[in-house]
Amino acid sequence: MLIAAVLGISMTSCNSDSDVKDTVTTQSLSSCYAVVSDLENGGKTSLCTSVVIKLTLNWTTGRAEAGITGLVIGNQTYPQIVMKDIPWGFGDDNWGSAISATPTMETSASGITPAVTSFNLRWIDRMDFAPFVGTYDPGCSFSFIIDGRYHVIGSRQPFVFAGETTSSDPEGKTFSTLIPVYSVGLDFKTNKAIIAITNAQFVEGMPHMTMRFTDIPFEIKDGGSRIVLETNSLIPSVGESPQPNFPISDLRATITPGAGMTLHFVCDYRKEKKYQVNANVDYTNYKDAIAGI
Amino acid sequence: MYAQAAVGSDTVAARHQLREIEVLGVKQMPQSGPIPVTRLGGAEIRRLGIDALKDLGDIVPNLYTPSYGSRMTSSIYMRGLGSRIDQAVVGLNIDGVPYLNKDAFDFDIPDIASAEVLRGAQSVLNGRNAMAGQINIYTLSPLNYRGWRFMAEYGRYNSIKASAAGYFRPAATLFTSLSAYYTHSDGFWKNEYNGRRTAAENAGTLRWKTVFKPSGAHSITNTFAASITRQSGYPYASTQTGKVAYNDTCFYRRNFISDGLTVAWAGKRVVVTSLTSVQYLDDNMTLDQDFTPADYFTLTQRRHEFTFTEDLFTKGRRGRYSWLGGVFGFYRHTRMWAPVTFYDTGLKQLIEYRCNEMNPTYPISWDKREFLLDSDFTTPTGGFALYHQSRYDLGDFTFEAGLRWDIEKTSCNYHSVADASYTIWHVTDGGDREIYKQVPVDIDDRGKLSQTFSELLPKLVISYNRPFGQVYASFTKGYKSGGFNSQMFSDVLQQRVMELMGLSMSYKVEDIVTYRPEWSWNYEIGFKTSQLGGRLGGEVNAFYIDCRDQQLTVFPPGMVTGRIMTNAGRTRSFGAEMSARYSTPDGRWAFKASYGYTNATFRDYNNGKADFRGKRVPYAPEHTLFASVLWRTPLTIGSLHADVNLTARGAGDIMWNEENTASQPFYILPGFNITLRNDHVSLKLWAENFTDTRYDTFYFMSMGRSFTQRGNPLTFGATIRMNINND
Repeated sequence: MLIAAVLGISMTSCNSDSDVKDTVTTQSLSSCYAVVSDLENGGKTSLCTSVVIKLTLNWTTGRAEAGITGLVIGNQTYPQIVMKDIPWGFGDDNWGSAISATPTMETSASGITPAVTSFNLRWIDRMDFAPFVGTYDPGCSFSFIIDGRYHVIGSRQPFVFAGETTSSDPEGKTFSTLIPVYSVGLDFKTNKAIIAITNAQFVEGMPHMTMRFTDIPFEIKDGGSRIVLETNSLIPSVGESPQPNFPISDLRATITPGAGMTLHFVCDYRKEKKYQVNANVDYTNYKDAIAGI
Repeated sequence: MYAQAAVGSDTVAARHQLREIEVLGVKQMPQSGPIPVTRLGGAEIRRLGIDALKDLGDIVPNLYTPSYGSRMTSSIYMRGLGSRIDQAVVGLNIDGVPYLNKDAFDFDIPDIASAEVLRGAQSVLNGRNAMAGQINIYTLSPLNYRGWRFMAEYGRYNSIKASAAGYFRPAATLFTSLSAYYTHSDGFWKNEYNGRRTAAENAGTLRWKTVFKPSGAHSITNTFAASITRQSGYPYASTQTGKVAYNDTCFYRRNFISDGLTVAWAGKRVVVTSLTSVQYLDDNMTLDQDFTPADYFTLTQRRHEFTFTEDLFTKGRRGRYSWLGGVFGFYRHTRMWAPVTFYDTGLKQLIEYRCNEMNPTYPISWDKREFLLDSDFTTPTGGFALYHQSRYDLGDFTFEAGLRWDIEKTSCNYHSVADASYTIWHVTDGGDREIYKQVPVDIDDRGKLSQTFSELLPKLVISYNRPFGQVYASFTKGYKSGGFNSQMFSDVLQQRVMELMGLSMSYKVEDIVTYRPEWSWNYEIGFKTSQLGGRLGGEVNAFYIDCRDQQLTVFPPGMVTGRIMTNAGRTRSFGAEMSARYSTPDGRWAFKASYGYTNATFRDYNNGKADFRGKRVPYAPEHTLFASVLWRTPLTIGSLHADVNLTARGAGDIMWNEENTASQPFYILPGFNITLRNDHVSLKLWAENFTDTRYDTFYFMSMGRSFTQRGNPLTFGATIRMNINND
């Protein structure tokens, strides 16, 4: 309720019984993408890049309604798919979830009633997640099957993660920190990703800086369950300045939408010493990152 | 009725002289309670050369008022509690008028009739920012004196003071006085860079007091004061060279106006008083912020501030029960401009070097060699309080209890602007430089921060009163308000620039500039006595203070300047104070001594880089000492008398940082004065610090360099006073 108030999420009350008012909130999860796999065509995938989920939560009945726009399923464009009467709740990990094997479907304006099964939507509300200080930046992931044929897996991006970053030098000395925040943005047109690390610090005493790794090729795998970024070398930027003194090599990152990211790269500090850097980050450790600031 | 200490009084305890009684709305209980207090009468104040609040330091046990920087710096420390910027820990009232901004505490006050320093938390009656004590200064009233008074003084370093005051009774019920005061000094220290004296000063004060007493039960007093201060330079010396040497302008200018209207009505058992005040402060502090001959940066802090206070209280007595209670409200509106200008060396060392050392292949250079970071703020603050204190006498025992509820809201509307650009160069393999990119630095940040504080401040005192003296135990809660560290905004803006360049941590502005209230639990036991008709007396007390969220001034690490306030986890302070006085029956000899000991350490303070648990709290001295021997003798020439007074003032040792790696050892400053006087004229020859003891009053780090301000050297001079009493 407090989050709803802070976020300005609209609240309404509705109930057929005039003496009892339901508490209802509505929020929008925008900037989503969805990978559609055609199960009858060898799992051939297509990508929808402008997906928006309108999520209506009835706190009184514990039922949710999810309206998804921007999906292109096979040759069919669905202006909006609306699923109703989905049980929902918050877990101990602060993730909300709306799960239904067979949600009630609403007939679209064109008269089409898609059949959706195995609907699974998870989201987490987050505020003040650097660099989005003072803003609302939720994480989410969703999956469902339409008409028994198309498996849809999607998420919201740019992904923003935090957690533990560990580096080790050639002598085996290690350094660990919870402060850096990783933002991963995917350009679906170029299939290149940008990783921006806010408050990056890989060595004891290293000044915190905002570092950007650009033009990293990425591939969506397993129907959207994983996104893999990989490059053998790149020159990072700090601000607008390239930093050839800190060349990056052997970068491998695997994003599991709705879970987190593992990242590995090698930083050749001043071309004198190679640091192995590993980050195991997720959606929920941002409070440690803020505390470190 | 309630009287001031009379002019000419020379005792520690206040004497009550029932002449024309001035109901000034003195906020004390009808009978003095068991408060550890130091009182100074007019004669002693003149003999010791006390013209301002800062001159009270060391004389009062555990009160330390170092003089450094400018008149804007009123860093008052009492019992290990203190503050160098923003809120004060000791309240100040002058003729009952509260001064809320400690930046306006330091000005010379002509014709001080008496001063009292109440040690320990005085929060119940005086509210916010009286956490360590309360200072009340009273000027000579036309109710008690009519005539003319003149003073002229000349001393070393071309130090000049002059004052003239007239006290009149134009009508049977109307009394008025007008005093003017001027001071000049060339300053003690020389800026080696340009050969000019630093901390030179011209200042003046005008004071107009009017008392209207239509009847014995009614009194209306208006006190108008205006002061003007013009100071040059901040005499901070590098610890490496021992010299003051900087190239850019430093000065402090202040115009200050205050008006306090007190309306009082005294009934048979109750007195009702309304005290209304308005104050206007207009000042400008401009600093060569690096204090070196190089062109790093300068800082200006200009301010317009308006303050309104209203205190409505009643006090009375009925048999064994006496009480005081009231409501207090205030509003303060501050408008401040604080531009910081970086010059060529500052740009090179603080911005370009940091980037280019890390990235010589793509070095940067600022396009213009002067870079302005501009900030302005509006800070409205308002507060309201209800307070009550009751006392009950039960045989030899007195029980006192008080409670204050204080609520305050403060906001800060800030606007930070920077408009510049820098060029990223690319150094080719052949060593040629070509432009890679030009990057604008465009900052226009606005925001509003807001805080609300609410406190309940209790007080309990038990005293046992016998002819041999008074024994007491007290428990009080003290409180210092929170706020916004406006000086930190220049650092915020600098970090913002570095952040745009990718070279800084992201942070929330409010986490850096906002500081929370500080509060303390105070426990004290003490003993006071006055014997032999007041010729022998003294007091001794021990205290323990548990301070939470103590507000500390720290300098951020690395090559930056400016200071930040932070709330330390917890500190504790314990100590003892002693004062004693004796005068011979013939009045020829008078001895006085006071000593204060404070052990103030951090119980819990980790700033993320170091743990200071167990370290001494900086800037507060461990010991204070004052001693005075006065010998009076009549001379054979007419009605002349001679007073010979030897004094010693000491403080220390003082830690300068949380690490306790730099300190000022304990030092003593001996002084003497010889006064030849009759009923109308006096000539005083005086010397202070006549051993020319070298000591420091301040230490700080800036950009990896350490600086100190040296304490006042040997000074000497002569003061002539004349009074023409028309009564």
